[in-house]
Amino acid sequence: NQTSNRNMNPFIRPRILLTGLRRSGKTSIQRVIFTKMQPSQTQFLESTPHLTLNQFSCGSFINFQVQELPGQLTLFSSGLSGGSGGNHVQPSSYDDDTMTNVIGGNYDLERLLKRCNAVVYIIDAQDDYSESILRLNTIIQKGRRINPRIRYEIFIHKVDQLSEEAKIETQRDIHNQVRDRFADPIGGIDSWSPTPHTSNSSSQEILINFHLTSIFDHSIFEAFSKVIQKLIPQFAHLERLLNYLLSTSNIEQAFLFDVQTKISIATDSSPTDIQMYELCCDMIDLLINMSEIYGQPSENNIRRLSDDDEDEDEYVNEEDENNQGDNSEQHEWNLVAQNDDYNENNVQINGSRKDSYLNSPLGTPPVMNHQSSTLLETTNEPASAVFDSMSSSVIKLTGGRALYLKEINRHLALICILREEALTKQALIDYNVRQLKKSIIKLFRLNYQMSRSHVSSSTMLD
Amino acid sequence: MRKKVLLMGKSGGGKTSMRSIIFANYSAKDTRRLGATMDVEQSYVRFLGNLILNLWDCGGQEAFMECYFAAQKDNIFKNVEVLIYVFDVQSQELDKDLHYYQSCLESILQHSSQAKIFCLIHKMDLVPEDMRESLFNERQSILTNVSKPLQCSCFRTSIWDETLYKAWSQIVYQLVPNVKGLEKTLTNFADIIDADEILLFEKATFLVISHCTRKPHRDARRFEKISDIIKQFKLSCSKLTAAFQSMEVRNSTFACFIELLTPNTYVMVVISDPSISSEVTLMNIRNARKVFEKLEKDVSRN
Ligand SMILES: Nc1nc2c(ncn2[C@@H]2O[C@H](COP(=O)(O)OP(=O)(O)OP(=O)(O)O)[C@@H](O)[C@H]2O)c(=O)[nH]1
Ligand SMILES: Nc1nc2c(ncn2[C@@H]2O[C@H](COP(=O)(O)OP(=O)(O)O)[C@@H](O)[C@H]2O)c(=O)[nH]1
Ligand SMILES: [Mg+2]
Repeated sequence: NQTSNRNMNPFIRPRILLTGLRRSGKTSIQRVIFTKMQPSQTQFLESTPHLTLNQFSCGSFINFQVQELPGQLTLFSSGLSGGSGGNHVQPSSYDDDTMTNVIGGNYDLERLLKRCNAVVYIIDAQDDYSESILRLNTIIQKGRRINPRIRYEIFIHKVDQLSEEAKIETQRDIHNQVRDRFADPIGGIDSWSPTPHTSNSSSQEILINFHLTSIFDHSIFEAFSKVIQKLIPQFAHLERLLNYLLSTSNIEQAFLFDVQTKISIATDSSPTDIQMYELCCDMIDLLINMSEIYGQPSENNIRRLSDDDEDEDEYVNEEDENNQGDNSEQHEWNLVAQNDDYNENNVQINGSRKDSYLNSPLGTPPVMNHQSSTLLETTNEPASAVFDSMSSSVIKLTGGRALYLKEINRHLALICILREEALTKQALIDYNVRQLKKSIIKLFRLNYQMSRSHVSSSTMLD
Repeated sequence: MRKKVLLMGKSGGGKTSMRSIIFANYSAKDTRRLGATMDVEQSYVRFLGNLILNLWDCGGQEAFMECYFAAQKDNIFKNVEVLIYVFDVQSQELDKDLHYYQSCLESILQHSSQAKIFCLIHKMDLVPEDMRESLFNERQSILTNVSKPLQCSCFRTSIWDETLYKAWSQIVYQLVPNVKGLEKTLTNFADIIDADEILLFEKATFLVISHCTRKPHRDARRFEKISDIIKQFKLSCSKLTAAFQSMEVRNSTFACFIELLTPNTYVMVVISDPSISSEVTLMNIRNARKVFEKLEKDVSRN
């Protein structure tokens, strides 16, 4: 099946499994990043007592699945001891393994782990997090067995209420707990990110990163950007292209942003600071907000625009078509795939039996496989209508700094930070950026074709 | 030229918050740190060259209020140009609020009967969206009634959205000298450069003080939205210890420029004709500077 092959291919879209205990902030994070919810509004989110699968397909590169574990199930974690991960390999034993249920359906989890490139695990730093770490450790153990290439990105979340010292202290504490409890039963894991020893190269190596995050500032966007950057197979190439732009156009810093989510999918290789990152995000806001007021395409314009597109650069055009095709098939395929998964498990898709967990008496382990309702949501944010092929902006600041923004494709914007003097040769910059744009579009087109003809299927991160 | 503006209303109503956001580059979040204002806090804001706003932020705790209407009465209520009275929409004591408001009006009538009066129904964000309209209308009619024989203009406001800028823009508009002359020059300028719309902002506050619209626009709230958008961006620039200077934004249907026009104003030019290049528009703005600078000087001389 060609479609599924293409979409399974990590070369195009990294898959992220976002998980964590109930009320840790998973839904809030998704809403804030992907549907632009105001952070203050997240307090009204209700936690759903179902296993929820959420398929996000934003921009051209970011695609992930969220598995939310209903909190009630964690009640049964009390009987655990650390080492049950490696024992049960036979599918037949899953049904009566409490551990399986705690993790949210062992079978599902294994499936999800097998297919994902990174696990983003949310820990509520304001709460007692020992149970959460227990669950994290189990996931890591399983993941290590099933798919050793997975990266673990631990978001120590809701740190907005903590002082600077408390943040550092919490991070150290969590770091140690993960290490201790995890390292013991397995033994001999001594490679810990952020700088994993490459000498220790083998499947034993586990990549874990910690991030301090909050939805009330840009930290959640920045952390997510870092997660994505590590997963995008084109990242190294993009970085090289941006470096080249810097050197040819007298630019200080360059970012490539997914406009919709404000996730930066690539930067040049110079170190970036969060303030710069924030300013770029705010520039995107400014551009979109102003364009929404004055730059709404009128009826006629919409027509004219799509006509224009056709005689534009062939790369641009083809890329757009590819994206569309990709998106819709992706979407379709996922639904089918989920159906497969869950039919094997006898779980309803889009089921409406909300009562199942709530009504089950707490003493009896709920049997995931037969009673749960699973909600499958698909969020597919369309590209902003006011962000088009002519979108651009120049902002000058005091102190001789300037910001320069240019559209790359429907989803991507290039933002450069440069000295005002450099702008005196704006024609040169414009030209170089057009070249960069072509290279980027070519790069993605190439990957698309490669994946289409089934070349290089599992080689990301290498 | 100095103009006195009184800010009054119940304690915790949001007076200092609004003043700090509009005139002192606070963000809405920053206002959570503000403590109650003790007695009267005066501040001077340079506004459009020679014009200086003298803001009297009158702490609203009852002990102070009683004092304003007694011992301090002459001092506070004489030479008032504008009175801004802030009502906390969530206040449980509307009668008491109205009582103080009326005492205030009596003193105004006595000492500065020419003063313009603005009532802000504030913290509207706390009211569910579908009830805001009717609640505001209800309060407005009460206030219009009790204000007689004086006239008051009512606005709904919240520091969490653009309604704040709408109200303050209208207030400030009352204080700008030679508004008509400014408007005429702006219209002239817009005709020459074939702009869809031109806005004039006061530099420090980014409030719209004049505008010219040559092409109808569907969004009547765009001016306050733009003030809000630019203020937000200015705030994020200041985190980098840099300040906003100028901006150009475009897509395939419009180009929009914000540039310094006179030492006290920014101009925003919106053009939808894609054949007009940025350079031409920027040059036109540069050439218009002299005209507007002269206009501003003439005004402040009178
Ligand atoms: N929800 C909401 N809160 C607001 C708004 N405006 C102000 N506040 C909050 O109200 C509180 C009190 O605001 P202040 O500006 O100190 O009130 P004040 O009128 O100056 O009070 P006094 O100085 O005692 O007279 C602050 O915590 C603000 O953050 C608003 O529009 N909405
Ligand atoms: N202080 C703070 N609260 C947060 C943050 N993120 C989420 N929350 C709150 O945490 C609660 C639970 O979030 P929710 O997304 O429903 O958790 P989920 O069950 O993991 O999906 C909500 O009330 C959110 O407002 C954060 O960064 N800081
Ligand atoms: Mg105060």
